[in-house]
Amino acid sequence: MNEHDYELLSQYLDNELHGSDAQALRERLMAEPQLRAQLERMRNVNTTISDTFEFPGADAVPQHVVDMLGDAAARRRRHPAWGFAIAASLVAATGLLLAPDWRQASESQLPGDEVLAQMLEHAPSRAEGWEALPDGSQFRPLLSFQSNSGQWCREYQLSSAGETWRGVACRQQDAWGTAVLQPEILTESTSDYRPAGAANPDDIASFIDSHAADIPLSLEQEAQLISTNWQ
Amino acid sequence: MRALSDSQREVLLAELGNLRKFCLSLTGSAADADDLLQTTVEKVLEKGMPESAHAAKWAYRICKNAWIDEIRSREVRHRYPQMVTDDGDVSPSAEQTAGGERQMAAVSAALEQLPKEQRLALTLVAVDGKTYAEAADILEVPVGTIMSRIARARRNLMATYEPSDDNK
Repeated sequence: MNEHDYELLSQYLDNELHGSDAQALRERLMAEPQLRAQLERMRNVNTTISDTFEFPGADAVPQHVVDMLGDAAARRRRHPAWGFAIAASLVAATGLLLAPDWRQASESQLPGDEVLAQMLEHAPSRAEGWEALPDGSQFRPLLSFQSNSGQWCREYQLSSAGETWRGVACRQQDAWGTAVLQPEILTESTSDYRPAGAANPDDIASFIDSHAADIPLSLEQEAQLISTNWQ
Repeated sequence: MRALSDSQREVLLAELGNLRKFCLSLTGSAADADDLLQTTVEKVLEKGMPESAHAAKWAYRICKNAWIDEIRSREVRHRYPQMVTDDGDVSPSAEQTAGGERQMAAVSAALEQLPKEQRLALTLVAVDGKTYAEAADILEVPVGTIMSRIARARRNLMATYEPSDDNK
């Protein structure tokens, strides 16, 4: 562990590590038990600190301080619907992100659900190389993790008809469904992939960071789950 | 410097809850947090802010400076205890016997061991949920500096602080 490793873990914890950098770290976490242990310790300390100051009343502002801001406070009290609008927009955004759908974007180019489900069920994660699919497309499981709600989820890449996609699928009631999927492009300067959409630079990393209950499974843990059909 | 515009007051008002939590994480005490918050709002109102300033970020900066001023004056009081009355309550109060208070005392004691630049950066991100870019804006340093300060803060904390089993 050197200074740079601590910075990487810290950035990862804060959801400030994106794209190929985040992917590279996830692959190292799968392969390096000591690095995983340090991330776990860092997460424990971090959770303790944030939980300590996250309790009902922590953000309670004394009325006399509110009153110091005078007219603005009075106007704000007359417009209570503001918070509801924000809450409604959050619900809508969450619904979009979680809608399980293989075909959010370019429907006709992707292999069938059954083929992908078989790959997710049986193929081990790998850093290099691809699994060949019957229709000529290629599939690469990248990592596996448990979600906050207890589901097993897998991040994967899919190369089909000259395009590459990256997604996360989760297993529910013996079936796999994709929670998020986005196209990627191969950068010209490196051999790295990056998200194709400029507006949402890395939905996949954000999804994993916000939904993963823990660090990714090791290859041994994943192999054990594959052998027991993810039970 | 001009008085706050209506929109700046609105923004500041909306941010007061988060600002109070920031004060709490810096001081480790509800009473001190309220004092620091009041001082912050007083200074913002007294000195005003540029028309183009973002009220919330501006207030965080004022709050940070007020907290640093308070830390310095405490250091003076500790250095010259016989000359300056120390009206701070250093012994645990009755309310601190509760579990949450004990945890806050332990976490605050661990945070107090950090250099204040590291503590400010870590608090803004880990407690207040600011992004590195927002924290950099508030503390007026480059994003890379925030990144290394937070990493060093966590490394230091891991060397000196072990969460109890209840918190894991």
